[in-house]
Amino acid sequence: MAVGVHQLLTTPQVLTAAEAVERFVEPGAVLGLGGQNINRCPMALVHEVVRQRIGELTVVGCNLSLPLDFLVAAGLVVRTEQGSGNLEKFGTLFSWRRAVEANRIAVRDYSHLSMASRFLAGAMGLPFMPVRSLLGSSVLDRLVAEDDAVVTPDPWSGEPVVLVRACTPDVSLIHANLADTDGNVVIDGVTSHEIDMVRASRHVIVSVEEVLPAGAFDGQPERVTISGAYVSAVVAQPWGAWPTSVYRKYDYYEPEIDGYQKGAKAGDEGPRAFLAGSVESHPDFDAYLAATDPEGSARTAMAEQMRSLL
Amino acid sequence: MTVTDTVGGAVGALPRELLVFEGARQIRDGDCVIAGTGLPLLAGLVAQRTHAPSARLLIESGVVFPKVVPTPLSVVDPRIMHAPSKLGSLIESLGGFVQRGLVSTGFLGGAQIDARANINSTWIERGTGRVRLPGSGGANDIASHCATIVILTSHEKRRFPERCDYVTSPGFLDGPGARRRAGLNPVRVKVVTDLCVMEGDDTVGELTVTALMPGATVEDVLAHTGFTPRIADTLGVVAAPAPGQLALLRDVLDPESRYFPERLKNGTAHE
Repeated sequence: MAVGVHQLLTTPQVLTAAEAVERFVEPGAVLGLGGQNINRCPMALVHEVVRQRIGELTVVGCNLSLPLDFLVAAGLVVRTEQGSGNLEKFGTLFSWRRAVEANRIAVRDYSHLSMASRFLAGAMGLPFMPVRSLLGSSVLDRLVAEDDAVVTPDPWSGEPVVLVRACTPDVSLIHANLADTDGNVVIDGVTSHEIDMVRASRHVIVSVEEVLPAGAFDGQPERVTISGAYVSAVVAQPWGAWPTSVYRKYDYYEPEIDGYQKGAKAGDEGPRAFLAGSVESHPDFDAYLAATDPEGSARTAMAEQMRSLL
Repeated sequence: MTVTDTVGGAVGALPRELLVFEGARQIRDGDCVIAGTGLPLLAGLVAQRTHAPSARLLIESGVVFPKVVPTPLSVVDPRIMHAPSKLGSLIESLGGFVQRGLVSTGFLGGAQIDARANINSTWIERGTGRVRLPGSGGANDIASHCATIVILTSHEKRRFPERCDYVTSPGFLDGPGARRRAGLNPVRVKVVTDLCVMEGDDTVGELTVTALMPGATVEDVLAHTGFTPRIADTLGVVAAPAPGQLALLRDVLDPESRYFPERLKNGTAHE
């Protein structure tokens, strides 16, 4: 999407994940992914992208994690632009790593701040943003060689700064705590890179733990993290970040993250089997939740664990 | 590993625990410190609860000045979002604090650290192939803007090459004055390993061994380093933790040994 082009505001719609993904995620899209590491990843929405097999995607974000690994394992990604691909204590993104090493996907590295600054530029209708990170590094050498960054003197002091291009996703997927039917979104806890990424995006699908009626925030509009002005579709999906966490709602579920990572580390078969058995075989995310946690005991335990940490 | 490898008596600190205590000593009272999870965060928490009660922690995900509860496995773990000044964003932490110049000390890791303290966490050449690593994350931002960088790492030859295959995060770049020429402010770097402490600044532009871990020798360091480090004229020995500090780390900060599986293996889980 071009920067700063006039765009009519649209009215957010409340849709199912399947409807929203079918309507707003196109093959070949630049896809922004929200969440970070093990927190508030848009799992339900990414399950749906996998189910609908929407491919040739360029995935952008800061700390890309499980959702990217699913999309890569499903063969739907041609390129990533990111600060990192990482799950910290749970290891790296093994499918992504193998795909990058085998040159099956192109990769463009940034630091978190330079990537977040690209979203900030897009959010403000600017073509680029200056940063003072990256100077002297191999990260910068590669970006300059690809014409994705320019080193230029500050016009006033003459000191070098790096200009990075705006990043304007065709569509971004995030998961949040709450939204009303007008698309006003509440995120509890850290917001990582998401606010600027959402405001820079042409379309935005937000899945939420709970959808409230229109006007729910009229008495307290400052509670709204992201205005509905930027949101295309709201999807009601309780536990929609599972097995990652949602601050104030539920903790991340280590056994499932660990299990996926062990399989992914061993080779491409693990993630393929996971996607076949836990994503593609189910009609929707609720069916996956019912199959993976039939009694709901893991979800109850993680909700209790979160309450104990607040 | 046996218990007799440890420092400070039969139930003294394990080598990786000693990294945490030496890391904590790099933090002065009043410092603003950015750290990821694992040993760096534990070092920050030890400092806060011992000699640096006014030190403040910043987490790259946007957590400003948390009161961490045990034991976060991620920078977005609810345990690291506990009772902060503010839960913000990446751009607030890495732009508003780090690039803005409000963070004195940053803790980093890396697959390679070279003679000039440059750090690689992106790509490693391995034979005819290349190994892909997670990438910068906030590391480049931290190394670009903090006044002091502290690296806590195991000491392996392949981790310390003469020159990194790829410079993710700048140390002294090509040597004295190189940061200035690139447009970066100067930096002090301290590398704490299970064998020694190496440090340097822009005026020298390379790392110098300044202290040894208890029981380690200069020969050990040279045998496990891919470059030939300068050796200080007088070498200190890293001190064992003060009484009570080991219990603080083991019983209070990481009571389930999430970052010290070796404690459980050799039966020194509790003091």
